[in-house]
Amino acid sequence: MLFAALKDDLLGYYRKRIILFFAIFVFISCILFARLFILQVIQYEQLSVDANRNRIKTREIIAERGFIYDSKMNLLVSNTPSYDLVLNKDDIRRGDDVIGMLKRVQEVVDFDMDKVLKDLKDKRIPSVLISRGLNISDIAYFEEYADNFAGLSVELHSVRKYSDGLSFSHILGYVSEATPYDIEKNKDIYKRGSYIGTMGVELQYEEELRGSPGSMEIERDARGRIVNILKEDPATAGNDLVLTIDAELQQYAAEVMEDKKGAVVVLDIADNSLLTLYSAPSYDLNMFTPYLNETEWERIHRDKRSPLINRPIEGQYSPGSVYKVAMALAGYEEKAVTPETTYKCLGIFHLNSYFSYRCWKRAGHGKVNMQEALAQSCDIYFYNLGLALDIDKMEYYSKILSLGEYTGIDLPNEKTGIYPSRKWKKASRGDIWYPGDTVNTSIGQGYMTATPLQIGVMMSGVFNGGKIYKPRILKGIIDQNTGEYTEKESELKHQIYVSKEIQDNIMAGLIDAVYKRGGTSGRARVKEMKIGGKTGTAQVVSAKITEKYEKDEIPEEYRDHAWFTGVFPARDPKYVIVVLAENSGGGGASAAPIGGKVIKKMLDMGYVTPDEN
Amino acid sequence: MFAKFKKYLLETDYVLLAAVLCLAGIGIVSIYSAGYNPYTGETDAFYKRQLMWLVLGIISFFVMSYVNYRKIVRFAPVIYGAGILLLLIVLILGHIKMGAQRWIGIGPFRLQPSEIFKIIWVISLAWLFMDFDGKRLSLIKILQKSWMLIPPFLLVFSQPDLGTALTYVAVWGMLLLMLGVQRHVFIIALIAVAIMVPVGWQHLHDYQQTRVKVFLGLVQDKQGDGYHAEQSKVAVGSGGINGKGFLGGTQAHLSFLPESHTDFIYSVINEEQGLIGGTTVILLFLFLIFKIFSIAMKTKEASGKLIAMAVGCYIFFQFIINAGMTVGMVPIVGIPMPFVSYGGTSLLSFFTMIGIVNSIHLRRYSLID
Repeated sequence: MLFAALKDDLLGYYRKRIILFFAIFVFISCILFARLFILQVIQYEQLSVDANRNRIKTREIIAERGFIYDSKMNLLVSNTPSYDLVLNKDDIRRGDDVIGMLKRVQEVVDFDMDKVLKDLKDKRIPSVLISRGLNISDIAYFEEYADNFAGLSVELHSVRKYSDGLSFSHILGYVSEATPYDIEKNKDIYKRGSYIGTMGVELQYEEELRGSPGSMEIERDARGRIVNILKEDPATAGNDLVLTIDAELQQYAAEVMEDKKGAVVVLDIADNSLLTLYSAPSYDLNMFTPYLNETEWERIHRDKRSPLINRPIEGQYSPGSVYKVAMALAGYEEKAVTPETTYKCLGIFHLNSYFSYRCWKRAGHGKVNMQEALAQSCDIYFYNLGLALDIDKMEYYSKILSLGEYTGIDLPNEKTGIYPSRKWKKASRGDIWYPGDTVNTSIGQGYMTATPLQIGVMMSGVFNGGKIYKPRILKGIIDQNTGEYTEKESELKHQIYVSKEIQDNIMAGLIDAVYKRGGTSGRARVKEMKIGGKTGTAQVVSAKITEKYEKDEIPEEYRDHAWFTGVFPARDPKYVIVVLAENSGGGGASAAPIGGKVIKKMLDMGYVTPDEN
Repeated sequence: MFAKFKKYLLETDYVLLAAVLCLAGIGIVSIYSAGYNPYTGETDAFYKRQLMWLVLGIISFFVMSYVNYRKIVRFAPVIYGAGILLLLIVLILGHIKMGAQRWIGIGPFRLQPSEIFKIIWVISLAWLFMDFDGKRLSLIKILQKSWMLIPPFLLVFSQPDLGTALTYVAVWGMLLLMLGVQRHVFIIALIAVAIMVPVGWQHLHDYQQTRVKVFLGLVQDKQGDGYHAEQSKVAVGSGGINGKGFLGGTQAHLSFLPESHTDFIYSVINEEQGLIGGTTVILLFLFLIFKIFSIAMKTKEASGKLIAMAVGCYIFFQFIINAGMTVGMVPIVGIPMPFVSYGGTSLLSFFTMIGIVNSIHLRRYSLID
């Protein structure tokens, strides 16, 4: 091996080559510099935004929903934490086996894979809710093996908690999760995971209950871990509601309704606030928490007994004889009859030579005045009264008493029922009004339908001197910011003058109906305190069909609906009760006893005091 | 002997040393930053280890300066053989790290033989071509002289460490071009590449294929492998002209940048120090190569020239590929930035090379000793 000095020409050659290569290196470095310049000067702003978008995320803070209390401040609805499993799409990298991961998740918690996959594809949904209400061991599992479940996180949400899931279902209603559509429509109000009231008070007072969401600007690292909170705008919790409902009384009503279908309504006639508004059968609100139990929902939905219908305000029934109270009022107000006016009942009423109408008592009541007609529910008396008044006058008073109209209760889905009139018949049947229609309507049969609440409003209007208030369920609101309680007041809808004398005259008939021999409402009798009451029977199918059966062999769906309405105490009316029992036969037999029990309960609870002697 | 040592100490090219120390310093500062967690205030120990390797590197620099490089060149075949043996050992016994066998543990140190082989390869190239006579190289001559490339390439490629294996080829190729090749070599090389690419493509791992595809824009990928390239571009660009300041880089500290202390250290520098920092690094490298090439020009002895040229090529190649990768000009390959990226063996190897270059500098006029 020889280390020798190179000859000059070779040195020169090397020199040239080295200089050439250095020049090339400088040139290539210039390209690198140009690239840096493009990124750091020309694209600086865009890439800065990208860098911030990487690390800064806005997290929504969902507001705590307001609580709901009964009139005695018993908690009916509150919130409870739910640990929910969420898949954040941001944290999914290409090449991640999401489906494989979800299958591994499915080994731990059960969830609807199809729905999750659908949400995963929906571009509007930034993160997919996989499962709600994880238990402690599941939470621990997912936290511990977080690395195996990329993009998955356990988030704390708040769900509804019901102190009694069964007795207040129709009043309270339920919430459901905001859909992408809801969120898009009201971006400032609803965020992913927000709840929206869907039924009942939850829907009616959604604006009070929902509060307003906050947000939080967080700094996160590449794995989605929060490292810093940059800005926080806290959520405002929703306002608490206080209802006029008395939970104990409502629960008692639920108890005495047993397995009947129907409704119990108790109204304070001073302002038509509702102490009880129970619909039977009920459904269990707990099926909505922590997430909707779909099989249960499906079952409820298909149930032939229709538990989802809020019967006191949605059920429309032929009122039958309870309507006679309104007839009595119209008769006295219009002076069509006096307390002394009598009509003779022979069991049948001949309108003309073609049409005749029967009294429910085939043998007839003989000569009856208003007090006796109300007590024994004589149909013939009211046929005569109806014809004396005529349908237009009847309509006038009935509409004032809210029949055929919305009562205006602060609950969704209220129905009006039908109050038939000349105009109505023309429009819906295309026919003129016949005197026979008046005869039918005068005893609450024929075309007429009403909701149990309407009957309650009718009764309260008669016995509070003619003030028709919109019934209400909201007693007051507790503001979350100030802690202040604001009491709500009832709104007066109509007002007429009903003299004490007229009230006493009608009451006399209703007292006799309960206490006198031959009265129809005897089974509602309360020993300690006099009450007024009226029963009604609404035919479900025409008598021709039921005549074919022996009395206790009529199929349930063909049996009559039973009504009872009471007003008490008779000496100074304060409350009205309405009981409707579907397909349970005559009103006197099945609805009146329930009414009596509820009134007795109110006595025990101190709402009313026993009579002095 | 002490007098000779003192003489060398006085004549050492301190500007050359200063240039590499500057780069290593920038490296350590950036490694510190890359390992710093602003929320806990903790820092990874990487910078401390790099500092320790730097000390070893400086010692190696002076030792290699003292040793006459010609003695090393004389023993080139032996050293080469030892290097190949080392690569074989790592392949058989090496520790497993990130799915690749690259390390040999010696006491507390983990040595990466493929990095050490870079020094051996530079010396081997000088030994191979020191009889170059100024005539452009013919294909036959190249083939005669280049068989030594095959074993280390295959050994390192099968670790698998494609990046490092490619550096051997690159430096070999760059040196051939610097010496000059006959025109027909280009044509044959082109044909060879045309044949090799499809064959080689088949032998690439899936992740490597994806990286190339992403780079060529054949597949859109902002989540998986393309994610790293994209995040690095975002880091560099968001640094702007002045940068986000020391320890201020969000991309680095929130782990959006992968491997921020090794392969993507240049992204950290650009994010935190901006265009100014990025350009400073470019200028330092150009200055360093200028110094090395000056030494190559001044020395009158062939093997010294060739070693200095090869070292210059090596440093520039690794620098430009690594930097190009962080700004999205080159597909992602695991080639670290010399002196700057975290990696003890790499730092030690390059300091050793610079030591050899200084040794050439010290002996540029004398042919004895």
